[in-house]
Amino acid sequence: MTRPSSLRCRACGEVRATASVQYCEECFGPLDLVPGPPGATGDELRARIEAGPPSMWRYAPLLPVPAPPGAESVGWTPLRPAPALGGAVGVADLWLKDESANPAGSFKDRVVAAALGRALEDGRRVAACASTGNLAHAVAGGARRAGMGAVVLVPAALPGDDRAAIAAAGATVVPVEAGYDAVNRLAVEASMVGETERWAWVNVGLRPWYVEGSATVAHEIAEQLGWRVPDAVVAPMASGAFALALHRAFVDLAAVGLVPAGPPPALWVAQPAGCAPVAAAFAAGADDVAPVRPDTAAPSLAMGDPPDGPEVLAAARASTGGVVAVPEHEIAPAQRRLAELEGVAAEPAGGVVVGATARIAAAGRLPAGATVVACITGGAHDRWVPDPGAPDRAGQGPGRVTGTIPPTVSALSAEVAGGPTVAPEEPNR
Amino acid sequence: MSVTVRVPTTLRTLTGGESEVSVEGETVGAVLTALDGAHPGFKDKLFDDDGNLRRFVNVFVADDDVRFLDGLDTSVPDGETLSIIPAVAGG
Ligand SMILES: Cc1ncc(COP(=O)(O)O)c(C=O)c1O
Ligand SMILES: [Zn+2]
Repeated sequence: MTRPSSLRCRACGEVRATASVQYCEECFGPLDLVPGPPGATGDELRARIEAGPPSMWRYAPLLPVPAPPGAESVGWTPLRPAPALGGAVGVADLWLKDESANPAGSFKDRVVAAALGRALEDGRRVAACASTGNLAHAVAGGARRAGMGAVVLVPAALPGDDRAAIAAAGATVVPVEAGYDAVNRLAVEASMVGETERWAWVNVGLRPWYVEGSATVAHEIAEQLGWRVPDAVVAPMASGAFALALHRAFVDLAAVGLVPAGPPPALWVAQPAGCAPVAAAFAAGADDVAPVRPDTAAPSLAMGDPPDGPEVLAAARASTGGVVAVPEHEIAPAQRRLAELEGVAAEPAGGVVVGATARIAAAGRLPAGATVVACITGGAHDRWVPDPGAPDRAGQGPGRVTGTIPPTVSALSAEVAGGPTVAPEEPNR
Repeated sequence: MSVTVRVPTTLRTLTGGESEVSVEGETVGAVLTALDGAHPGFKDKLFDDDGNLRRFVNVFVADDDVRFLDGLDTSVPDGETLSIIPAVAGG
């Protein structure tokens, strides 16, 4: 049983039961899912969850989407005590939520699973996104396991090995003669017209459902701490969807009686200094976020005009947390510290989070004895290097890299005419 | 001075279903005013009560977000394309 929900425009408040586009038809505002009451609360709900599978789908009673096939390996990642790192950065009770344990190595497996659950409900058979990294791999793997086709748009400048790795994960990779922002724009345009409108653009048309996948990180943290919320969480942000979903889920956990009534954790948000528009607004005491052009060593956090910026800013302030910019030269050393002290091999976003945690502690912003959870949202990328000896994936059309196209919807439709190879009806697992 | 405007799905009701229309104008503001003149209703959808572009409306001249240029005063070269699209999500 999925949780009932409605969609509400964040800008004008207009509510609708369903929507064919991801934005408000009146004012272009993004639509947020507003969860209704779950089928049970308190002890009964807790018992249902605890009897559930060891995956993000144990929280199905809290989620507005059904699980897609093949998603039972997603989520229920370790919450690791981190005494050595905690000692080094000055946080006595530090924990790491280790999202590198997901199938494609990042929390993006959760958001993609939620989006594909909704997509299949809606009869969509091809998953699609624009991405160069974590999302691309999550879409390729999630679609393969769900028996769907996958199309990933990448900037033409993406190195051949990176393209090949995404193709090896099963996706049709389409290099686009444009920068990352323009490729994302093509995804938005393609989600609105023609054949490509029927694809499941996971973080565009399906964004309201996609973000709900991140809420399960908060659910797990609370359950793994014995059904209580930590005093503070540290989360990285690009668009801000992850950080905002965490905050909202912690508020919801208290509302449905899964954790004792009380304030949500202080939300500390980490940005790399080379792309820190929200940290700048926080420091200036501003409500608006002025866009920047990213120049950072943390590519997964390089979003200069974050769509959820003002909401993240408000949530950080309301929860007595904050938004921190981590100097670029601190990112790689923090990543190494995390690997050396706790054995967690993270991608650069993990370095940003560890760097931010150290800065917050050094600034005396964490009460003595506070329970702090740092979200390591993605693992190191060396896992993606295509393995020449890997067995063929039986029954699956292999992924491929298409020719390079100009950034137009017509060129995209022509390049992948008839859609990418879609696996046979039954997912093979 | 003719400019091509790319119209997002939900606003095509205003253009009789056309995804691209041609209008005149030398700045983004002038182009959008001309667009509203030719196809009444655009101003209501794109601007807030103070006459600013709504927060979630992105306008691009060729590949550039006009917020990085001069906003509504950004000049639009003859023959250029102006795109109106909902805020890009990305990930
Ligand atoms: C590893 C990792 N962490 C964090 C983020 C930021 O997520 P969001 O865009 O939801 O803020 C991303 C997004 O690309 C990511 O790949
Ligand atoms: Zn609205």
